[in-house]
Amino acid sequence: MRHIAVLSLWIVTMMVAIPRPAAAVPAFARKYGVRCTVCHEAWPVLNDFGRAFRDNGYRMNLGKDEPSMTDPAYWPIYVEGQPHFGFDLVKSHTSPTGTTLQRTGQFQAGVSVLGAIGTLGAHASYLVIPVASINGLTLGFPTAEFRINDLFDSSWLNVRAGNTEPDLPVSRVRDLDLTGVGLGAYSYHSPGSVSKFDMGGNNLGVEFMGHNRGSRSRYSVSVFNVTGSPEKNTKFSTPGVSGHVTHEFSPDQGPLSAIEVGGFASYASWPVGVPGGNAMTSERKASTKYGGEVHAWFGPDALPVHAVVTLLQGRDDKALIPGGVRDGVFNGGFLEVIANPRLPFVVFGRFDFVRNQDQALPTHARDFNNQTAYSVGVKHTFEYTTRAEYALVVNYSLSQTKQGAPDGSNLSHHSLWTGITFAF
Amino acid sequence: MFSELTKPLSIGWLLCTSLSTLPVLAQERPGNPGRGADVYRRYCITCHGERGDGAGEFAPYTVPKPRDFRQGTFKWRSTPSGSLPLVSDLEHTIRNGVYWTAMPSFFPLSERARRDVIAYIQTFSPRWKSDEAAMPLQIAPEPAHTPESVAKGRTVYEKQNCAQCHGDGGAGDGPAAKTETDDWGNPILPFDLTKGHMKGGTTGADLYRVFMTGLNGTPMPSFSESIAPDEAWDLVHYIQSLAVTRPGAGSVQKEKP
Amino acid sequence: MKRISVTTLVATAMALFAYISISNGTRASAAASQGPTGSARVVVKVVLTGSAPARAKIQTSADPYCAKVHQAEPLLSQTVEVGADGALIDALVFVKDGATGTYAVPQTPVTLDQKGCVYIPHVMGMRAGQPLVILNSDATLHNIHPMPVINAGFNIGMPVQGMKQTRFFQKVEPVFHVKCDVHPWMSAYIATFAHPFFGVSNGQGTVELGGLPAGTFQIQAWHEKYGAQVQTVSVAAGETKPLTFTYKGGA
Repeated sequence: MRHIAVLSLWIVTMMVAIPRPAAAVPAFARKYGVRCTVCHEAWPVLNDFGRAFRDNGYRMNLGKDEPSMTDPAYWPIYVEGQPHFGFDLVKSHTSPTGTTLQRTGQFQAGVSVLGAIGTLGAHASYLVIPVASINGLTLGFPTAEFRINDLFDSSWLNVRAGNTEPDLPVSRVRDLDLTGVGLGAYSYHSPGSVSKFDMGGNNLGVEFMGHNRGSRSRYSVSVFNVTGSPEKNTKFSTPGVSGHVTHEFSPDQGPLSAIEVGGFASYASWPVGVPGGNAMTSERKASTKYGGEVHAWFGPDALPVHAVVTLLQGRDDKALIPGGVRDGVFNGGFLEVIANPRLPFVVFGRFDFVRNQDQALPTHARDFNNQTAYSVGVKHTFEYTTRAEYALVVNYSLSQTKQGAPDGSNLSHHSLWTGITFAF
Repeated sequence: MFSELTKPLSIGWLLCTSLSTLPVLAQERPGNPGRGADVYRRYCITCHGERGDGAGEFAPYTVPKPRDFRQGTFKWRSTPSGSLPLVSDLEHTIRNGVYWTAMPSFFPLSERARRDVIAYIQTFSPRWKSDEAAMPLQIAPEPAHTPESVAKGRTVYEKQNCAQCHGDGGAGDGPAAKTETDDWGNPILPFDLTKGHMKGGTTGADLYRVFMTGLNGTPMPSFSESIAPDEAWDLVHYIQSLAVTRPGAGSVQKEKP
Repeated sequence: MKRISVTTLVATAMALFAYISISNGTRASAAASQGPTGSARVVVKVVLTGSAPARAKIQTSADPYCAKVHQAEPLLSQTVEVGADGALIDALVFVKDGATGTYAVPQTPVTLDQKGCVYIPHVMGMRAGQPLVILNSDATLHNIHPMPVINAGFNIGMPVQGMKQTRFFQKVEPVFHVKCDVHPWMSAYIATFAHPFFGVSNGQGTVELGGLPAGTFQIQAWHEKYGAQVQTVSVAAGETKPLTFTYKGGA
């Protein structure tokens, strides 16, 4: 029982602490003379233009991409920071008023990123984030990738290798929410599972992706080693595979400016031996996830209200859950709305949920460790130029975990994030 | 069995293709300048400026300078020299971008967004209200690209004295090259025809249009009064033959007609 | 399919018609020409006091044809040309205000010649809507590139000797520049008027504004280098009045 509570706390902590670098790249704004609004529906969420640019390997494909074509004064380096005041309140609900487990309020540095990104030649792109830190804690090489674009002169085949983010309905590194809550269905595992595979996180591997002109139809297939597995990454001994396909179309009339539908799936192995034991010799079992999403953009093309519904089902092999008598199955997903009533101003909100369907451990109630999260925020970008930008963000979230507290009662976590984000 | 499986697929395909042909039919629809203003402020303003004067914040750092929309002077047109372009000409430029310049391709945007922003761009010059609609150039179908056509094109190049600006080898180094300015007085160089990728589009017809209608606002005149249509295609073939293939000169994002 | 072919036919026919009407320079409705019918006259003299700048020699070597034409006698700048007794040549003189009548647009074309790699004339006035014949008398490429603000500009390549183009400026417009991008020294100035009372000073620096109705007029002189001056003059029917514009040159 205790290790489950510890695990729940770990999940909550992880959700707060997950790094979110590579959100926006002012280096490109300087290189191409555009503002963030060109590529981002609302920074850091990409719009169609930004996604096509990224899918093209950070190229405009108009003869100005190569380093030799750019101004000598241009350096493909960027800096991001998120100084803020964070307030967190964690409560268990043994009694109606609840018991406070944690109450902290402090000024924090947030995520700071120094990265380099760009193109090497006509067909090669790279992204390296050698220095990133979360609240002063430095991480080494959170993201590094190299991409070969347009193999066989076709945009339908690009290969990216490195520690890269996966292709998903909503990217975690391009999330407007800064409290760290939400998109929990990506990383969730059935209660008791030893697998720490995070579908939404970076994994070391190779991605094959392709798209049509404008990236209205696209696919991505990744083969990777599951990050965080007890075995060394280099041994590639906990393989995983994931894929995502999307198609977008724009009705020419009416209140909808665009609709996108997509489907995704992942399969990730994990050793089932005792953690810390000889993992190399242990058997591997898989956790799987599959689902689909619908994006809808309402209103004007340039100032849309963007709604996303993503639903998925996850399954952890019973062997991943010590004492499990059957596979753990859960359903999850989220509904996200981003409204952009005028250009530098954004309002966003998200409802997240995970509902267990089959508990692997018969001692667990069906709704044990079910999760619900709400997040709302406003963001106003005071200045956005081709050089830099900074924005004020106020963001609140509440996440609830059924029987997640150490004493077995329900757990709730209020989080307030207020501060600025800047990028140069 | 197989056909039963493919049936829903083909229906889905039909649905997709019919949805994607919708914008083609929609070409005639007028854009909404109000919505276009939002599109403009999001994508265009850093170069073309809030007032459409081509003096946005990035303008000082880029050559050629962004288009000043207030005179109704546009380079890439199918209409005679001095005329306003057609809406479809502006759509062509916005959709494909202008190669070798800071003007990107806005192909990822929806057809409607481009139509709306064109309607907004048309509010910057009173000429869009006062000028009569210009008749577009009629382009005859392209004849075969033969060595004879290329050779004939060379004589056209010589007879029309293209070399005066573009140089004997087409490298943009003719005797008049150094002194030329655009209509705003900014120095401008004749295009280097050996570069392998034209600015105004990848097709032969795009090149045909350039010298048969001229590039408004630049020293490049219209030769429609002195080049016959068959000579024009020969000249296209000759200019295409000047291109030196360099790594990276091509692009996989081939323009669709 | 049928509709398309009809549309194409109509479009082609219209294009053909437009082409013919432009290239022939014929106007659809030629109203009876009605010139200046008054009997008042203003004789204007434009004078430059002080010294005129020396006319700079123009380097024409960029174009072998132009260089050959000016082999014996170098081409000189046309910016300031002065005749005997300080007569300032190529000043445009016109009634700026006071010519209220309506005057039919003459159908006889005015000619702008590209000859010896210069424009002839260097400065010209014409009626709005009057045909302008542009002639290339040289065996080299000229591009005729007028840059009006009110009228529609154009830029036509004229690579063949003897090639003629007829064009129109439909609206009244103050002086605008005409350039040839191939030969950067080539420069002409055109102004278009709603009335016939304008002229360019000749070798004696004079312009005769004849056929004026009796009345008070604002008369403007414009020179490429020395700019504009305005004077007011009243003339009675049958009267001839002299008027002198004096520009100050170098010390």
